[in-house]
Amino acid sequence: MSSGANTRTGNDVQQHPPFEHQDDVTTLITEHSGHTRPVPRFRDLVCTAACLLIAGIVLLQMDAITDRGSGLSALNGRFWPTMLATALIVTGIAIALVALFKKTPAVSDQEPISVPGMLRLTAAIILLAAYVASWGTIQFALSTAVVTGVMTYLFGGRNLTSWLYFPIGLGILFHLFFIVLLKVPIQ
Amino acid sequence: MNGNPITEGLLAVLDPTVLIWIVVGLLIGMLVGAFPGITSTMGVALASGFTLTLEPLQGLAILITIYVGATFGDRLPAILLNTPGTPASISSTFDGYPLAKQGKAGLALTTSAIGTAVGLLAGVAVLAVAGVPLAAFALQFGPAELFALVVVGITMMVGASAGRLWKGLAAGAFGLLLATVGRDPITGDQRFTFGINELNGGIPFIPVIIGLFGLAEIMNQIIVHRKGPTAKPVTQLGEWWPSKPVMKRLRKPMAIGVATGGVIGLIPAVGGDIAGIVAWENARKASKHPEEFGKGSLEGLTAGDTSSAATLGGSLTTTLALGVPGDSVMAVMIGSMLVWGITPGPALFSEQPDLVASIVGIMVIASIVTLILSLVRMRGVAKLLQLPKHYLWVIVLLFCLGGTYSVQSSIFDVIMMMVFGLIGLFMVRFGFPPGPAVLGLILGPLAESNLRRALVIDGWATVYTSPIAVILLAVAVLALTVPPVRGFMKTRRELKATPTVEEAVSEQTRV
Repeated sequence: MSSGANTRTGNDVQQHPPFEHQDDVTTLITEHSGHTRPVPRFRDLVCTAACLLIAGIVLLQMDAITDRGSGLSALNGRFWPTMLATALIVTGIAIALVALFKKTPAVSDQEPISVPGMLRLTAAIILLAAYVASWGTIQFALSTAVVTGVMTYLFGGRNLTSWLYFPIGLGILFHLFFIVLLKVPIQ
Repeated sequence: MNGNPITEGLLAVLDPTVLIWIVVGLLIGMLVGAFPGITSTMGVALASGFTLTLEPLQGLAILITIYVGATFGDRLPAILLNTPGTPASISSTFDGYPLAKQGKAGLALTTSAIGTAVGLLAGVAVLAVAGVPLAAFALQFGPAELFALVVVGITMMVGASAGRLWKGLAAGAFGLLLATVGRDPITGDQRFTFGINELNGGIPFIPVIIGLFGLAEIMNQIIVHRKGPTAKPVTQLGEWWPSKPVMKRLRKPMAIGVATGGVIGLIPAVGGDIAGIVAWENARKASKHPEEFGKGSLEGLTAGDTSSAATLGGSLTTTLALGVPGDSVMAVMIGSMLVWGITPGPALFSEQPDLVASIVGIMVIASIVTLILSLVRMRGVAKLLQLPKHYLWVIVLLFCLGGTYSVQSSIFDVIMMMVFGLIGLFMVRFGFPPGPAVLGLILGPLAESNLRRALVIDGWATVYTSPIAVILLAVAVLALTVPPVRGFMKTRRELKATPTVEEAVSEQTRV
């Protein structure tokens, strides 16, 4: 008799066998996002590039640190960052090697990016930047209400509540919370 | 006249302002838990922005109670929608949703809330019992041991993100590197400030935390969003209160949950998600009706929920006694505590015992109040599950900005938060766990200063001649190596169990 657990993946209910190790538990947690899928190997090479880039920036900036000792003595301010940059290079190379030589492709628990989602995010970032820029020039509650209305519309809210009542309510709430209660000099 | 610090600490919690913030934190926490996609870590990270303007005890009351409230609230979507509100309630879906489909949602919600309260109170007992001896032991630690302790904390968090070992290590190294920005902890010289004055004091914690855990998560939800049908929650709640025989039957799974969660909570970086599932399995093995598990067993639901809640006390214990965060929420909380001038670690118990007592008091009050709120208001909160995502996204995004700015009224902080939001999005999309990065940022100065001090004393011999440091470093190595080795062994076992082509052909021929 199966005594596994039912968990949701999308709208389906699936059976899981009993768990033996923590790995099984972790796998279940990953699966629970409901979107496990293989990912191309080159993706991990981007990760390697990111590690090497950060390590490179650190090592290039090393000369700007005052050298109070000789070489890598523990008193030297370069010692610890050098150690970490080296660790980052090693882990970056390890990520690339695992990606290239692993028999089974890596699996991601992330849903794929959608084009409308990407456009919405870009627009949202621009709106957020404009909102921050408006602080000090436009009344806080007003700018909050306006940006809320536009963003709610951007994210799919189409009724009166979404672009009128909710923005006005949130604008008032933010004013009361940040300015009246916390006395943040935001306006 | 000086009173008993424990009494003073407990009485401080009864201050009306603290009590008000406890209730506010609980309500926020229950909402955080109830909305899938908003995790406890995100909730605490967002709140850490505006709580820094409050008194430390008031701020701590909010942060801790958000965590407690989320521990209750996340069961709601798990039971009614089959979608965990936070990872800690994954085990609640196993039996909670089948119960709801059988028309027993009310019963499932009530027993889940009772189990959660029992688990939380048991966790407080773990803190009260284990905290002082653990802190007293850790007081003997010198620079080498403290460095090793930080390494254990980071590797535990890397190990907990199994399957992403190298990326976890890279994230940890990145966090430690971020911590090198600003002043050298030994010489005071400037490092990696790139001529930006605001970086002289180092990279500020709160914007990074809000960016990585708040903004990045919402941006990730926006970027993958597609139009489609939304799941409808179960609305027929049915019977509400469990009968006495049912309650009697739940004692055993509750005990299993308390034992499992209490122990797992003490392991740094291992959270309620794993504890809940392990306890569910333990309860299934110990049950007289294992066949009911996964199909609507109140025992399974209770064991998992009690266990995941019990980890909270253990996490607080390692956080307060050792200064090593028990989970990612505690990592965020340490960031806030450091800004308030509270340094978690062994000295906290001897220097500020009243604060530790206050934290225990907050946990007890929060557990009881939330249990009452859960039993009374579950029906109302259940309606919120149908709130469209676009409202949540806007609220969280604007709170990220307002909360970050309110810390020290700095636009630079807001820019940093947005930059780290994008970095966090990259990390999420490319499989880097953000937890080790935040831990590295917070514990970096501790690791660097102690390692360099240890090396100045007697070189690397200071580290490898210390039995405690060697044991801690061995634990760190095990934390990193055991999960992949187990995975490898499991794959080999599975491959052995699968017949080869020749075996399959020969079997076919024989038949």
